[in-house]
Amino acid sequence: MRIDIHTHLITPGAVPSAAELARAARLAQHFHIRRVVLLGNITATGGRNPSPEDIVAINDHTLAAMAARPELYIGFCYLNPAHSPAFIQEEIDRCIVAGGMKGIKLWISVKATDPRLDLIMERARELNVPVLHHSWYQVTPVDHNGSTPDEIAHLARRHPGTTVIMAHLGGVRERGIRDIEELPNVYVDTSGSQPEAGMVEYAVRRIGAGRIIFGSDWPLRDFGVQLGRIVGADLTAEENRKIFYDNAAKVLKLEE
Amino acid sequence: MEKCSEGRQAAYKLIDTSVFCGPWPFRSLRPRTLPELKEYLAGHGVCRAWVTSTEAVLLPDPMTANEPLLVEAAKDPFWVPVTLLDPSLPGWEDDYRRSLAMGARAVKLTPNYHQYSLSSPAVDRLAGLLTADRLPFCIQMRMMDERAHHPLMKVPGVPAAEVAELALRHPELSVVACAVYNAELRFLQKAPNVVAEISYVESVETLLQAKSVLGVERLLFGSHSPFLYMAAVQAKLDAHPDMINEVELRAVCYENAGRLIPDGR
Repeated sequence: MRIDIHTHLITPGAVPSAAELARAARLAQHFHIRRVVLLGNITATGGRNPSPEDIVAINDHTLAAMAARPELYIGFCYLNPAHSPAFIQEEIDRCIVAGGMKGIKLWISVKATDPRLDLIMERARELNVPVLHHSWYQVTPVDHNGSTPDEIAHLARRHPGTTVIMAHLGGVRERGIRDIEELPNVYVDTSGSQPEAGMVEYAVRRIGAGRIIFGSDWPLRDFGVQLGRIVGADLTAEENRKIFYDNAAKVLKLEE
Repeated sequence: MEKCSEGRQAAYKLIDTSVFCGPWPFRSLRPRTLPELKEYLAGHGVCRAWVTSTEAVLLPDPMTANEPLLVEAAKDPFWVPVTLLDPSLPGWEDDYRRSLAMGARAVKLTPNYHQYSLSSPAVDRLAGLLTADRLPFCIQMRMMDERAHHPLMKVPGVPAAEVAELALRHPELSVVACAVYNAELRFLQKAPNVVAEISYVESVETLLQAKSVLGVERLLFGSHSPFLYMAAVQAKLDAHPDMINEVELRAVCYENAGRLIPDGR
C-alpha cells in the first residue's frame, strides 16, 4: 500500500485532461499507489509568479481532478504568498475548509524566509494541515525565488506548530537533511533528481524513517523509477511501510 | 523483498552497458570492487556488464586507473572492459592500442571532465580507429546531475547535438550516449548510428517515451551503477505489454547490447 505525496498534472487546459487522469490512475494502480496528492498543474498555468486568477484556475483544476477521481486524488491548495491576505484567506477557505483539500503547496513565487508566508503557516496550523514547500540546493542558477533547505528550516523554526513537508530529497541531499534534522515538524519527500544510491539510507540514519514520505513528482518523473529509490534502498519492512504509507497517512489525517 | 510492481522485466537477463568501479570523491559509492560489484549486479539479473573505472575520469592519466581494471576484468567473462581515454593527452593512440591489448572491448570518453570538444581532430582520429576495429564509442554525457556538483567543480553535460554530429561524420561507427537525459534524446534522432543508454532517461513512462523518440532498436539498458539505485533503473523496463512487446523488451534488455559487443573474447 502506497501514498504518493508529490504529483502534478501538466496537460494545459482549464479542466483536467481525461487522458492524463486515466493514465495517472492506470499507472498508480500498476505500482500499487493507492492515493495520490495532487499539488496542481503549476507548470501549465501562471508560471513562477502566478496571479490571483491563475491561482484560482490551478485550484479549480485540482478540485475538478478530485471530483473526477475521488478514490485516487487528495488535493493541496496552491498559493502565492505575495497575494493579499484577504485573497489567501478566501482561497484557503474555498479549497480546504469547503473544498476538502488536505494541505497547502508553495513553490517558488516567494522565498520561505519571507514574512508573507507567516499568515499561511498560521492558518495551516489552525486547520492542522501540512505545508509542502519546494526546496533544492543547486550549484546551477536558482529558478526565480526557489528556497534552499536552510530557508525551509528558517520557516519551520518560525512556525514550530505547523507541519512542513520539504520537497525533493534528491535535490536537498545531505546538507538539506542536516538543515532540518533538529526540527521535528519537518518531513522530507523523496522526489527530485536521479535516484542516487544511498540517499534514502542517509536520510533514514539522520532523521529516521518516520519523517520521510514517498513522493514521485509524477508526471515530470516516472512512478516506477521514483518508487525504485525506496525499494532499492537497504531498509527494513517497517521503514518501508513508514515511508510508503504510514507517514503520509499521519500528516494527511487519513482514516482508511 | 518489496518490489516496485509485478513487472515483466525480472524475467529477462540484462546486459548492463554502463557501470563504474572505484572510488568517486563526491559520493560514497558502494560496491567499490569488481567482485562486490559483480555480486550486486548479478543479484539484479545482470549477466554481463560494461565496466569503466571511476578514477579514470579524474586522474591526470586515465591509464593509471584503466590498467588495473582491465587486468582484473580480463579474468572474468562477466565483464566487458571499457577503457576511458583522454584524446587530448599526448600518446593517447598508444593508450588505445595498449587498452585493446589488455582486453578492452569499447572506449569511453568524458569530454566534459577532460575539457575537449567532440569536434576536435583527435576525437575524429579515435573514431576512425574504433570504426576500423568495429568497437563501440561510448560518450559519457555526465557523471552526476549538474545541479548537485561540488560548487568548486561544476562540469557541464556534453551537448547531445555534438554526439549526433560526431556520429554523422562517422556513419559506420557505433556511438553509445551514456547517461543522456530524456530531453536530449531528440538531438540524437538524426544520427541513426547513435544508441542511448537509459540510466538517466526518465519521463512519465520512460521506455514508451524513449521508444517514441529513438525506437527500441536504439535503446540499451544501462544502470550507471553504483551511482544510482539499480531497482529504480530497472523499473524503467516495466512497461505495459501493449506498449512494449516481448521482442522490444528483449532488445532493450540485452539483444541490442549483444549486437554491439558479441559474447566471447
